[in-house]
Amino acid sequence: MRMRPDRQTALVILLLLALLAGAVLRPTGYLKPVEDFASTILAPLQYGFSWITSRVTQVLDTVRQLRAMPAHIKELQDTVDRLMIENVRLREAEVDNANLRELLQFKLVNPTYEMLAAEVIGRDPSNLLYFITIDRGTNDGLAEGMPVVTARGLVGRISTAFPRTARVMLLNDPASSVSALIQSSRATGVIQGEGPDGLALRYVEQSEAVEAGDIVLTSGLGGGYPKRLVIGQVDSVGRSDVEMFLEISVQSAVEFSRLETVLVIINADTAD
Amino acid sequence: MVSPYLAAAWLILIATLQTSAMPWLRVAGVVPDVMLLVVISASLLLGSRSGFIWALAGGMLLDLLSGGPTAAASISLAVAALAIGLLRSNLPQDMSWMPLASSALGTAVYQVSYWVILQLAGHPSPWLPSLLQVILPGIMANSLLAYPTFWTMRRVFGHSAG
Repeated sequence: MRMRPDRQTALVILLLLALLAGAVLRPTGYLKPVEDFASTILAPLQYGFSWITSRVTQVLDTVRQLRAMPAHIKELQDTVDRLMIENVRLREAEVDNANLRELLQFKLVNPTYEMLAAEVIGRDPSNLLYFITIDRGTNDGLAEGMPVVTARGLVGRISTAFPRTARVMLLNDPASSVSALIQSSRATGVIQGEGPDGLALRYVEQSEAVEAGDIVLTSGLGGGYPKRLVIGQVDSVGRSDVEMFLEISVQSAVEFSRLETVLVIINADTAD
Repeated sequence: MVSPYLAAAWLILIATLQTSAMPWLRVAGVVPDVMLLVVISASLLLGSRSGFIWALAGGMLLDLLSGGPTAAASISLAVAALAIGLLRSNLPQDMSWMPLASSALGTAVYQVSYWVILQLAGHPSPWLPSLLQVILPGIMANSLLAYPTFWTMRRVFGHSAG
C-alpha cells in the first residue's frame, strides 16, 4: 500500500490517538461494546486457527517423535536387556542364597561336623559312571574317603583327591556301597548304586518290616560315613518267597544330576 | 595335514565341554558324547588313521577327567574309531547319511566297549539298565548331534581333509 508521506503521518497520529483513547477508556468500561463486537467476530477465526495449529503441532510432534523413535526404542531395548541381565543375576543370587542357607542350616543342625563347602565344577564324561569333580582338594584339607553331603542328604564320598580338586563317587554309581538302616524299623542293609535306576537297599531280611516311604539313614557301620545321615526314602519293596532278602528300591534325597554346591565332612571319623 | 596344535586345543576344548557344559544338556536322559562325535567326524573327514589318533588323544583327555578305570575311554574310543574305519572303507564315500550311520554305530561300539571294560576292571554296571537307559538313549542323543558336529568339524578342519 503506497501512501503519501502526509497521509502516513496522519495515519500514525490517528492510531496513536486511538491507542491513547483505548488506554484511557478501557478502565472506565466504555470500550466494552467494541471489545464484545471484536471477540464475537474473531472467535470463530480464533477457534479455527487454534484447531489447525493444534493439529499441525500434533503432526509435527508425531514426526519429531517418529524421528526420535529408533533412538528411543534402542534406549528402551537397552534398558530391557540391562534389566533382564540384572534379573537373571538376581535369580541366580537367589538360588545361591537358598542353597547356602540350606547348607548353613545343615551345618547348624550338625555342629559336631567340621565341613567345607565346595562347588561342583565337572562331571564324569561317561554316561556309565557317576562321579563329580569339586573345586577343593588336598590343599584345602580334603582326603580320599571323606563323605560328601548336601543339606538334603548324602551325596557320596571322595574317591580321588588332587591338590586343587577332588573326584567324588556318587551314591548311585554301581561301585558305591554304604551301610544303611531303616529309621523306623532299624533294619540294616547296604545301599548300592544302581546307575540310572538310582539306589537299592540290599541284604535286608524278608522278616523285616519295611514299607514305602520309610526313611533310610547311614548306619555308621564299617566306618567311612558318620551315623544318621539321610540317604533317601524307600520307594518300593519287593517280597519273594524264594529270595532270602527283600528287593528294596530307594529314592535318593539328593538329585544327583543337579548338584551345584556340596559340603565335605572333614572330621567324619571323629564326629560321632 | 591338520595342525597338531589346533587339534590339541580343539580336543582340550571338547573334553572340557564334555565334563562341564554337556551334563546340563541332557537328551533323552543322557549326556551326548561330543568327544565320540568329534572322533567319528575326524575319522570321516581325515581318514581312519587320523581318526584313530584323535580317538587315543581325546580318550586320554577324558580318562584324565574321569573316575573310571584307566584308559577306559581311550580304548573305547579307539575301538569305535576302528569300527568307523571299517564302515568307511566298505561303503561309498559320498553317502550323505554317513555321519548319522557312523554316529549310531560308533556310539553302540563305544558304549558297549566301555561297559565291558568296566566289568573287567571290577566296576560293575547292571547290563539291562545300562542298555535301556544309557546305551540306546545315547545312540539317539548322539545321532541328533551327528550332523552339527560333522559340519562344525568340516568347517574347522575341512580344508585339511583334502
